[in-house]
Amino acid sequence: MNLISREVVRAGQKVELQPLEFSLLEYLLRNAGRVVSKTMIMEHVWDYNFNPQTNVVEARICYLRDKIDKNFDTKLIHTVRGVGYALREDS
Amino acid sequence: MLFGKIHNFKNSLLFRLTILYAVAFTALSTIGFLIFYYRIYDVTMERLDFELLEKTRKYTALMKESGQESVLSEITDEAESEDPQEDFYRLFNFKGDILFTTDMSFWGTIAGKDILAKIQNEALTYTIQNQPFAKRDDRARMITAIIGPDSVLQIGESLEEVDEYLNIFLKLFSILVISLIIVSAFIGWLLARRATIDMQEVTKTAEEISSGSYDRRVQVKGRYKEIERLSAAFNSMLDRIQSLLNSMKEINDNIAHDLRSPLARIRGIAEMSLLKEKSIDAYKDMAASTIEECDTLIGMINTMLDITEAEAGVNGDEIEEFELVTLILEACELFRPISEEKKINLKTDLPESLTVKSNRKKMQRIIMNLLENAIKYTPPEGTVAVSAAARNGEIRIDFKDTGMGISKNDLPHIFERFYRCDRSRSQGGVGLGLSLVKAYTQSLNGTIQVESTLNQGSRFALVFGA
Repeated sequence: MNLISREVVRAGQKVELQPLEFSLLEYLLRNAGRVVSKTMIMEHVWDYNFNPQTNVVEARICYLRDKIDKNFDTKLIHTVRGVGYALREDS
Repeated sequence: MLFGKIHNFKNSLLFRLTILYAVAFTALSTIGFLIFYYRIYDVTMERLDFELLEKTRKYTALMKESGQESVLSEITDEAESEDPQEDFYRLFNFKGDILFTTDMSFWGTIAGKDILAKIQNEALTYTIQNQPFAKRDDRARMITAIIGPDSVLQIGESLEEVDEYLNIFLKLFSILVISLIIVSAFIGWLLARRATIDMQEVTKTAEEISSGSYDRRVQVKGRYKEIERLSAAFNSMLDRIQSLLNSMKEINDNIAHDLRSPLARIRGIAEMSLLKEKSIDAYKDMAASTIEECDTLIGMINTMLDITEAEAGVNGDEIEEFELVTLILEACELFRPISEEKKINLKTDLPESLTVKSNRKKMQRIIMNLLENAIKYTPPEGTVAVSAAARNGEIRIDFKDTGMGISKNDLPHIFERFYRCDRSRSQGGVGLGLSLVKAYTQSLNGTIQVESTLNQGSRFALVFGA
């Protein structure tokens, strides 16, 4: 991930991301290996100090997964039920 | 017991008013009577004195013209025509030798020389006084006048008659005043009772309400404006208390209900985990469900606290200047995946720039909540439009959707805590979103209006002073 050109490359393939998806991925990468909660994502990525009823984070994660993980066997974005999300290489 | 009752009665407004009325009335009538009495006494005495003075003037003139002899014969004639018990005539010289006197056996002795000495000392020609007598009950009005170079005339007239009719007056007035006291006390009591009887009505109602009948009201139709206003104020206070009590009760019921369901589910999960051995994944799943239920509960409680805090206005809001257009666009962007999934057309109609001075976090939450509702209650293929504009120094933000709408019966209640329209229950949520929106909007000195047509859509309009 190039923060200056705002380009993301996975295994030599360029991935097109929306700004919100880009900042979400950036946050996940910075906390790679750790589990981040929805509240943390709302607060640090989008600067909201509350969780709306509708699961906007999950919807966004879905989009990101589509673009990052869909065409690869190794999944990077994992859901930890009840707690949050984690970006790591193992399954 | 009896003493206590008397003590209470003595301290009652009824008693005090009655006594005050009677005392005031009595004092006024007594003063009036005394003035009247002394005025009558004065007039009577003046008339008597004038008569006596006239007589002595007549004899002074006669003495000057014709001498002592003719004065003597004139006095004799006059004295004979009068009752010696009612009037007396005495003529004496400066040495005290009696020249003429009527029969004084009815009267007694009079110290003529002493009075004469007094007149001469003070260089007067006459003096008038009330002369008491040892032998008689009544007094006499008596003039002692120098009518010649060596003659002093004393004429007395009994005050018996005057005293008698003054006494009659006194008795009459006494009877009058006593009956006035009784009548005025009675009238005072009646007036005070009429004023206090309505007050007792209010008190009675208040006592009934204290013992539990909150729907009781005071009869407003009173005899007096003051009591009428007291009753009206009392009743409107009761209405307010009752509606507060009702809404508190409703909120309590709702909280209890909404807390109970997730707690019951958590308990169910825990019970299940104890019943029989399961795989580690099954346990993880249960733990995750528990966390989700807890998050719902915590979210609900936090929202409740946020609403309460905003309504109480405890913390002064941090006011900053920010770009409202960016804020709205960010919120829309956040909901984009969800609206796309439902194939909802999420439109915005915003100016280039719209800066506001307000609390950013609260504004964020208001907009997010309204946007979330609009998307949530709009069926697939519908439209949600957000527009904002500054006009007449006000900023107006509109959220228009083509959703299920709100029925006329529900519309007045949608901002109440835990209120959910029947048709929205299936959508999840606890019914706090709009309450929070309203509380936040008001804490930012804004207003929120809503218009809605069932099955056609709703429009929420926020208006803030710039």
